[in-house]
Amino acid sequence: MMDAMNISGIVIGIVPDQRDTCLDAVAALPGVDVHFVEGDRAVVTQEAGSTAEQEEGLRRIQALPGVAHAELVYHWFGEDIE
Amino acid sequence: MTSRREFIKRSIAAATAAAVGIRTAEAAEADAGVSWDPTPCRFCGVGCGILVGTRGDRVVAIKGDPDAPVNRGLLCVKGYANAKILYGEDRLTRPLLRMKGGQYDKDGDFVPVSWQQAFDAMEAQFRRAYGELGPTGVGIMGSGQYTVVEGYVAAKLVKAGFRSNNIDPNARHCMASAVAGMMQTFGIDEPSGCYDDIEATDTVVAWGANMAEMHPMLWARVADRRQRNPGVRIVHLTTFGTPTSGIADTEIVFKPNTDLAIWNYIAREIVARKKVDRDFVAKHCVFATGPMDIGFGMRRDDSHAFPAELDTRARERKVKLTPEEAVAQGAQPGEVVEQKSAADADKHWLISWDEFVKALQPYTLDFVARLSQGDAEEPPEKHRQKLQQLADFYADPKRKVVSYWTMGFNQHTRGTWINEQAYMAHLLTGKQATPGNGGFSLTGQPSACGTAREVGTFSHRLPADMVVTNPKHRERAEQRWNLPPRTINPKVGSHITQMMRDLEDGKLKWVWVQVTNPFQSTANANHWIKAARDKGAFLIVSDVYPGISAKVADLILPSAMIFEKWGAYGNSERRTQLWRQQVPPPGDARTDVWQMLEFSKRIRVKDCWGEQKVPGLAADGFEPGKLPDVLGEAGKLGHAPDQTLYEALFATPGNRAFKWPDPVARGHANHTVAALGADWFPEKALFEEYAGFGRGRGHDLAPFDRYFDDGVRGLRWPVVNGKETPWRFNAEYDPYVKKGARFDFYGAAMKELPSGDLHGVTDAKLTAVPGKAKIFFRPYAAPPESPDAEYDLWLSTGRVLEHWHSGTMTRRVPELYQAMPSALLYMNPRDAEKRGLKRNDVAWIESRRGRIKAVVETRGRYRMPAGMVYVPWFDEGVFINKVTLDATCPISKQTDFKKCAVKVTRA
Amino acid sequence: MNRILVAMLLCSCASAPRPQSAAPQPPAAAQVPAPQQPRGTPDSALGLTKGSVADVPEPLHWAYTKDGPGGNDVLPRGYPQAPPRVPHDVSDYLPITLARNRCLQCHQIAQKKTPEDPTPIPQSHYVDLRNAPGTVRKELAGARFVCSSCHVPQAPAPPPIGNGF
Repeated sequence: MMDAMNISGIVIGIVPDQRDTCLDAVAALPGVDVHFVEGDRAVVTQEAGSTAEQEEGLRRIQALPGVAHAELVYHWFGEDIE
Repeated sequence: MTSRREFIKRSIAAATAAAVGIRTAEAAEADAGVSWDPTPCRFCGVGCGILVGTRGDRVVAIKGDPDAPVNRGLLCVKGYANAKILYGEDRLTRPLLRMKGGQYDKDGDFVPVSWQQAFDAMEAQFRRAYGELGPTGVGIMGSGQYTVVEGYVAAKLVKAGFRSNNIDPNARHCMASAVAGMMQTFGIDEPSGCYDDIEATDTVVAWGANMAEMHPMLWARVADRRQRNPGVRIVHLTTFGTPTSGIADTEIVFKPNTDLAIWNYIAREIVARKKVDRDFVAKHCVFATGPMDIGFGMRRDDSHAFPAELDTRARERKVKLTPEEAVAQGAQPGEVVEQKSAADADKHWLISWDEFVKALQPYTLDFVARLSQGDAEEPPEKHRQKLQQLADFYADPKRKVVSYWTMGFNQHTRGTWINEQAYMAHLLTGKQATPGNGGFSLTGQPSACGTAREVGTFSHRLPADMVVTNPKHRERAEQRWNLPPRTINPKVGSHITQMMRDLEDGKLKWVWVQVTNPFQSTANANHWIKAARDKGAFLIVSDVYPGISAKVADLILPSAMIFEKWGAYGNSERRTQLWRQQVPPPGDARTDVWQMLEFSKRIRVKDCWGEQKVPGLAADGFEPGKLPDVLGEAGKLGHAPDQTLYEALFATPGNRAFKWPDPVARGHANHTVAALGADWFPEKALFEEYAGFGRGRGHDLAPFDRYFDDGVRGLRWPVVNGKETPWRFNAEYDPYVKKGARFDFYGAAMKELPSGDLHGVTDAKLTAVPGKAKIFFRPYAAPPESPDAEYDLWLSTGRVLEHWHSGTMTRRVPELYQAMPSALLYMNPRDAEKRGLKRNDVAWIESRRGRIKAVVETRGRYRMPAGMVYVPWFDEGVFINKVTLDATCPISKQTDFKKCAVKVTRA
Repeated sequence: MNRILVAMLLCSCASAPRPQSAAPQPPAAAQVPAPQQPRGTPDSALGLTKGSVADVPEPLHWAYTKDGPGGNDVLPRGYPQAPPRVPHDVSDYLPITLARNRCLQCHQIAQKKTPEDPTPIPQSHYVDLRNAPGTVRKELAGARFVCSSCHVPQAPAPPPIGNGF
């Protein structure tokens, strides 16, 4: 059975001084993983069931405290062959 | 073990980080479980840098290498396919021998055998062919896709071991004309400029080069340059509309072969407008020309000709000049010219400036515009204006110009001439060898430059631009190779098309095909596929997938692919790029280096270094028709008669000093070493041995290990004192330029010449022209076959973006297959209609030599002018080379795949 | 059909018995089982186009998907970071010219708001990796202008031979 995998790579701009709050909040979101952080930027991936969910998720990230901005950089859609 | 999902997430995170410039240690960690290592791309001559992601023994991903100066992280659709080319389900993993009843049989079916059995058959057949015919009875068809060391091993095995010169690469079909053009113009091969010209120039002129599809990542740089700089102009000259016209400011559609006339019009304008860079020309150039009656490289022996071929072939002996040729060559219309200089086509002599100017006079705008208009539907005035604008660009001293060309020039029965004409315009205006200025031949294959040309895997060459006909060059090669004097055969061997003809004539009976698919890629293929099967020849094909050559072979050997071996490629800008083995080859597949080294253990010095007959050999110091017995002298050099060629040529004491394992491997394996059971590092030892030929002679390669240093992504030779050379012949950049000179065209070949006028030599006394480049006058000439009442259309072949050459790799990648599942017949809708055809109908395409079927396409990416059709050659099911003509440039021996006459009918 | 043939060929190799030869073998060949009475494969069974090379095969009919843009299923990528394939007809949109890049007209959007929206050009394409790596600019990187170098439409034609990537 092949399911679709819908994964996006997102760069988050962190508000200075709110790094920990921001990263905790982001990491707590379902399907979101923080991969690395450099200065005031973080790279996260978000897994979603559909493109609509993915867009919704991005808006959720943008609304979090400590997030200055969040942008979709990379979008991957492929077969899940596991 | 990282799960696939986890792996994908990490890859995406890494890609995201890389895209916005986050390159921390954590970014590397994101790739956990996947190792990345830089290599060049497998495909075209651009030489993009890729990062190969491996997990265990598998390639799992590819990405553009952001550190590679060629492509800065970008790849075309084929580049991304590198990951999948290894894994087609019918990958060859066992030697396959035609057998019946447990024995080799020419009429047998393919049976899996051991390498031992495979080599047994090869050896027996080698002894039969060599015993009967001597060195000319055996040969290797090689490749511009050979790694540097593969080509070097093949050339040394054939030239030093077998004492044959029958080694020639598919690159003969690809850039031999570029080589001949550069050798005659500069006295040394390879371009003066580099890709950085793109970011420095004001004008890019693509001549018969569909760069958007064939060199996409260079075209990306051109597109970028154009968009940032509104003053930059791009001109595309072509015989039909292609995607390259898209980004071009001007598309000039010309009639086949009239590019020769267009260049002369440009030169005439440069002279007439007094835009010659007089100082540059006086200091650095001389003028030259050569014979016009040179034929078309077709067979003169008609014993195997199909009846329909005879009329075209007759033009090899006598040409009735067309009215346009008569004007262009200063002759009488209808004059019948015997083609007497075919054997001396490369001869040339110095002429005066006045003679040069006189020769250009017929090439007026009126004459050339009328002759060259390629699209009858274009208003003539528009075509004229475009030609004038083109001349403006070349003539304007303030405008930098790069001319790019590839197969449209090189695959041309006057391929050497047209290459020289490009340099003519650039040299007249001093627009050569400076940033943003120059004629630049792009190669098609990943190591056409690095291997075929620089190593010299040609029937006339020795390493580093040396040739077998030059006694000093032979002597130098013999000394470096520790061979007795007169081991190397002074008679030029058969070029790749000639090898096919020899096969048909029964003169060549043992052929080893490596890294190429010549029975699909050679023009007029009906002859050669029959010759391979009918005659007493033994054909060995080393390949990775079964293509047409494998199907006509007697023995198929399974080879390792790019990431399954250590290698080095040299791209179009003299950039040498090395890589490590990433994954092991599957099953019993072996590296080509291993195959050759292992076979060389089967042949002993005494088998080849006794007296040998070579029909037609005539050279100073040699008995006619013979190579001397050199076994006595060989003994003094330490080569006992029973020594194997492996010991004599490859596993020499010097080479065995390069030990494996080697720290440069950083844990990567070496399948050649493992299969050989050796303790030395053949790829490094033989790279260094080869590099010895060019160091200190303008071809300096860096030490092997240097190419693996962090941050190095290939180096452009000559690499002198650790520094690469972006522009040659220019004192600012090139350490070989003699002190005090601004420019120095220091190539030494063909720099002592007689003098004459447009008709021939008038003073046989040789004049030396060291440091000078030659500005050639070359006239317009018609091709050997043009459309007539019966065969009424021009046929051009070529490639498409999605597929590489004969498609054996790319057509096994699903994304590429589905992007272009088979080759179509592209034609003008009105031409189709006239023949009762419409889009998607099946049509016959027929020439004097053969016929095939294809599906008609009247839309699509190519806009065909009336009278011309295009069929790409990647598809073994649409075997267009059964139709094409095997006429060549008589100087370079490169086939013209861009024009012959066909008819198209409803199937 | 073709895939079955290939599979058979591979099977016949794999099940071949070891050789009985007493002759010394090169190290690499030592582990190689060579068949004693293997079945042969005719050349006509090899390759992407079956049959003799002397024959003229019937050409394959194929066409790119006729679906217009909008609402097509996103095609799976070949592997992570492989370029997305084009799921719709592009015949009216090519060639890309200096004056007209129809791809950008639809895909140059920041975000996908509904499932029918085109796939947005990702931020990576706004980074000029040659001249200013690390900076996301407003305009598309010039080197990425010719979208069709990398993103190709697809024809629903099943490949004759599989790929085990």
